[in-house]
Amino acid sequence: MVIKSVFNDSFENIDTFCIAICRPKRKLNQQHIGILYVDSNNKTSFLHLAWHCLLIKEDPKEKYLWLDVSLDPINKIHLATICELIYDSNQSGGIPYGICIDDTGFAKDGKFTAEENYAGLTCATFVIQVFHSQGFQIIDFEKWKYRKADKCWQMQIIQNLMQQASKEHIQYQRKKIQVGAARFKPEEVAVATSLPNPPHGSEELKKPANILLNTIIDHSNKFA
Amino acid sequence: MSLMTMTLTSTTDINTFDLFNKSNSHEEWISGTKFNGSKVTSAGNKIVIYNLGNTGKTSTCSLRAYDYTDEFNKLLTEESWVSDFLQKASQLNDVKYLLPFYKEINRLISLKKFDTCNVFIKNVRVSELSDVLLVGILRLTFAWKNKLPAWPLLLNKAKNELNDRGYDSEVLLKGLS
Repeated sequence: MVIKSVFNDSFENIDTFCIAICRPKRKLNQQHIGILYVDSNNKTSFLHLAWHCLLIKEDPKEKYLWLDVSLDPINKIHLATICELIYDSNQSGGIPYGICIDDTGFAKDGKFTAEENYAGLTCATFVIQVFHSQGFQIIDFEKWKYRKADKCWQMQIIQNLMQQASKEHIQYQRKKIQVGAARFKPEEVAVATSLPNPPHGSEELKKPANILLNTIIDHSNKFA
Repeated sequence: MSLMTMTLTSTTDINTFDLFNKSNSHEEWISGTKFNGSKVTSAGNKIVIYNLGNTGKTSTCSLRAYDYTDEFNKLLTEESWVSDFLQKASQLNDVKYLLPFYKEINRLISLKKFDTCNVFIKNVRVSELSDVLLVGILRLTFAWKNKLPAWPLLLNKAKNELNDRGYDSEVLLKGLS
């Protein structure tokens, strides 16, 4: 796993499609993840689910680290094209934010789909579904542990979401939290895309995810 | 439809093709004809692809005529992008050039035109597809493979073609079998 930053590399040198991750606020224990890819204008762009119905494609920022994904160059070009499709297809309505990945995905026309109303994605599950929608299973859901500690984070997120989402949407998220929804942390998903021999369970990602997290924290401190 | 009546989009965005080294039992080569552009025409069950020489100038060129089915000729009439695709397929290896065709294939799927999509993937020639398209068409359509009877056939042909090109098809097509 090679972690790159503007201090040792350049966004212009990315290999068509990779994963970018940062800690948006230095003192807040929260990471954000998205996809860095060469777009149809031959420009490096950052595609990410920023928040509720807010899918953004923009220039990458220096606070991001990036990692190569464990894919061949041919499939990287395919996935970069899929990112353009997803961005184009989800401009009207956007992709809702939701804490439970169950029954969500992208139709092959790139449009977000959900079997239940009010289902949505986080920044991390957005990345998972981009991979899984194209047949690249990076996460082994059977080997993913539900952690009680994640419930606090989920409740906090729902609290923040109340300002943007409908009552029904919030209610749906609360029900999912009560039942117990697995959380996929950005740093876990980032290493899952980068390590060979996917799909990966939560236990095997623990150590590399911690290494990445420490690097992210160090990097964010450089922008203090 | 008579020969040469269907003039299609020019290939100004893409370099001219180097198809001179490719041949198979379905092709017939006609050399020594002069023409001013690269285009595809169809007549009866033949589809003719006109090739410019590598210089891109008006010159002596080669023509390839394919025998296609009635259903594919119908597809060519109904879906004008397919002719453009046939001209460019071997060169489509980056996001800019792939995107319009990915959108067209997805449009067929989102409109539930599975029969049309099946005719497309049944008749597409793996030897004429770029490396990315060999993988991409299968990945774009695999969620509907049960509605596309020609899909497993394309998968097998793509596997063989990738291996022939020196790739590891198991790696490139991972997750699709």
